[in-house]
Amino acid sequence: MKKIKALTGNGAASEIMRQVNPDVVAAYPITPSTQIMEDFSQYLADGKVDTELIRVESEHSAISACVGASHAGARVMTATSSAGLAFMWEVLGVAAGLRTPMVMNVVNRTLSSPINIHCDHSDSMGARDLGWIQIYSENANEVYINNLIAIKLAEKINLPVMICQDGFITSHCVEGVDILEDKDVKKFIGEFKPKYSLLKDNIAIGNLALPDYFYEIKMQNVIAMEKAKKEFLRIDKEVNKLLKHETGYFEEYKLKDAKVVIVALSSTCGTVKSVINELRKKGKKVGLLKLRLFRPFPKEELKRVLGNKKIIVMDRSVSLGSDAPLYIEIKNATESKDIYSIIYGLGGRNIYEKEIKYIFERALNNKLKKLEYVGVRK
Amino acid sequence: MIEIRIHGRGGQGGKTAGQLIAEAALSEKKYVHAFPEYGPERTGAPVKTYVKISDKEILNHSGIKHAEIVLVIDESLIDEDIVENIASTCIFVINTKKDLTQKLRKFGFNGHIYCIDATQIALHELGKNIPNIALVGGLIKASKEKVIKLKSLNNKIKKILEKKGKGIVNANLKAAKRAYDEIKKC
Repeated sequence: MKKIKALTGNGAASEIMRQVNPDVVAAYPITPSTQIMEDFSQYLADGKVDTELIRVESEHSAISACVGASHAGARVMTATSSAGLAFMWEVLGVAAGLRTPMVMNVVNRTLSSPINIHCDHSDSMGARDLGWIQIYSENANEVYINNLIAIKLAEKINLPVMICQDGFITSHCVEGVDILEDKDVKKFIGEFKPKYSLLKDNIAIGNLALPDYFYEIKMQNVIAMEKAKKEFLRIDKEVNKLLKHETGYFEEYKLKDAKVVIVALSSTCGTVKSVINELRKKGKKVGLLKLRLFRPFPKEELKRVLGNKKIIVMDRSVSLGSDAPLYIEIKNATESKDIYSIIYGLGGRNIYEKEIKYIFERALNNKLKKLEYVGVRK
Repeated sequence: MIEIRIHGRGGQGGKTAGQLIAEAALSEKKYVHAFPEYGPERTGAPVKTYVKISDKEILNHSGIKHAEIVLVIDESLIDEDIVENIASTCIFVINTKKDLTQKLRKFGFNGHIYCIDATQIALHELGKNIPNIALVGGLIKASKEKVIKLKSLNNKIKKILEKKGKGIVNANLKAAKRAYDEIKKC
């Protein structure tokens, strides 16, 4: 049984946190993810959850407390954005290296400077190599669904998971969200059974490993990431039985017969779909590949579907001094020569349908440049 | 799809008005999006709120340029920018005691203008200058209940304000109904 609630993206994240009722949440609220912790504190005050909520003095401490609690055997969740994620950096790697099964909602916001509270993906893209699983959400419904996947995935593989959603665009937009009954969520995620606990077992966590062992331990992380790929698909299908959605590493939107395809992440994919519907009516063969799972990266699968199409990769972040992150990944996966990089939406600059239409049309007429910055004033 | 743009200042309840319309539309089994366009949040700073209501899933996540309804909570915000990209089929719903037709015509708007002194209604019914719910009542009438039904708004008011007690619920219901009855085409 499900019901529809009017929720923002933040509201969808706090709703699933309420239903999960984690043992420990440690957080230091930051715009635009603040509402997640505001809601959750309210749930605690109202007696709707019995979580140990640790109020810390910084994000570095928030994630540290989460890692410690997780290895003591607690089910752990948190949320952050932008500079908050950046301040967690050191311990993000620790969380993954220690194989911490925790879930964090990341509400994407750009990094300073200049100071800016709006959306781009620089924060989570910067954290892409630290060993966290990353799932991107198009809307509030997907935030809810992806959290369900993440909790099971984290606990199955013993890796931390980030659920990303677009700051303000998704986090502050009210929409109708399909919500499961509390008891169905509890049944689905089951009781958290940690493989070990600092409180019960005679073990040490966070050991020193010099050149004689470090590499082997790191290899276990590499292998875990490979395993996470398969598990993601399996759990995604399980969630689909409860809440119908487009399953898989990526959503293929009118992709099969498309000549030109945009590859993008998160909320922009909705706007691209809307443009595709319009262009399709005029007989233009355009499509979208919406990537959901960015880490681990579904390289072979992407190559199979993107094959010999004209590919436009839209990045909402830059890699200063090189090509943009999603573009590099897609180019590497497909080994395509007919591939184009679009940078857009930095610091929350709006992306409109007419801009996407213009990109598609020029690509169809072979007029797109290899690299374009869309929406920036000259 | 119906697209509504709400212009207010931080603290005037534009975001809440948007959310209320969206939630009422959701209860009528419509698809909705409602989101504010923030600068850094400050009381008194201009805030735009966008509401989209549709029978089909809403895909486009960008803000609204070509609105069909523009709701103005603070008349001092009316300028060329508000009127830009607005077709003459659009309607303006404005919180004012004046007739603002000339001002809007000067900026090139030729469509319908509806005016209601929602501030006065709010002061009288709620004892506070929170005109947003009354304005939504006026908007419903101006759109001939095309956006949402008055009944849906009333149900939402009852639900959302339930915790604040019967007195507050009734005062807001009355404010919405009065604006619904009293709004006039300029």
